Amino acid sequence: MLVLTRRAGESIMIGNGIEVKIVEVRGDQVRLGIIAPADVPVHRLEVYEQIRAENREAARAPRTAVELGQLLRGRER
Amino acid sequence: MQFATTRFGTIDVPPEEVIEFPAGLPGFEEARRFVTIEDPAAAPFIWLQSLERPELAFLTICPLLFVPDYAPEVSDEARQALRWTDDAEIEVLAIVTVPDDPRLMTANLRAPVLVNRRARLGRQEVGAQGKYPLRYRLLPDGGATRDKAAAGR
Repeated sequence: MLVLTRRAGESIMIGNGIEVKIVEVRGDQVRLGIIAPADVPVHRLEVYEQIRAENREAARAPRTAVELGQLLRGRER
Repeated sequence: MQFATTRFGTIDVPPEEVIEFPAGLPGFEEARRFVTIEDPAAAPFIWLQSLERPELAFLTICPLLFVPDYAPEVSDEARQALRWTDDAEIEVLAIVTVPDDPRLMTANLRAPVLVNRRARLGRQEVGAQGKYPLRYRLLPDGGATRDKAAAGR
């Protein structure tokens, strides 16, 4: 891991299209501003990992949803 | 345009129905092009089929069918990425996870999939939906009420 020390107002450039700026440092929290192209998702790690894990589970979807649809119909409010 | 799929065979998709997900989906970042498929026999489910990976398709449902006041927060970043100009052109879908017992299936209300049909753009919003569950049970009692009702006839 590359470790750099920055002050509030300073930035880091990743590749030639991603900028991470230290917007503010307050106590034990750091506010980061990120500029990245649309094809580079940027998220808090733990949130992203949670969604990623759930998507991986969901991708094991069955071949058909006909029976599942029958289970659901009539349950909608 | 023709695409191979494992569940639906070869499908013919008009270009205007292809939805671009510039950032893919978490866990599937390279999957950028999808189409929605609505099979009436499988209603209310809507399939979100990858056009790059024949075997990759997500089951989704419209969350409003189950949570009428579902109101996810949408970040400004998402609005921009989707070129969101009009609420009416945005569709919200929740990805469904089906475990071994299908009656325990859940919908991800925490990270909804947002689609701008007009702009043909899609994105899964990973933001701050802490108020909604990651796994919302679509059959709250596992279908037990239904079973009882059926047995009573």
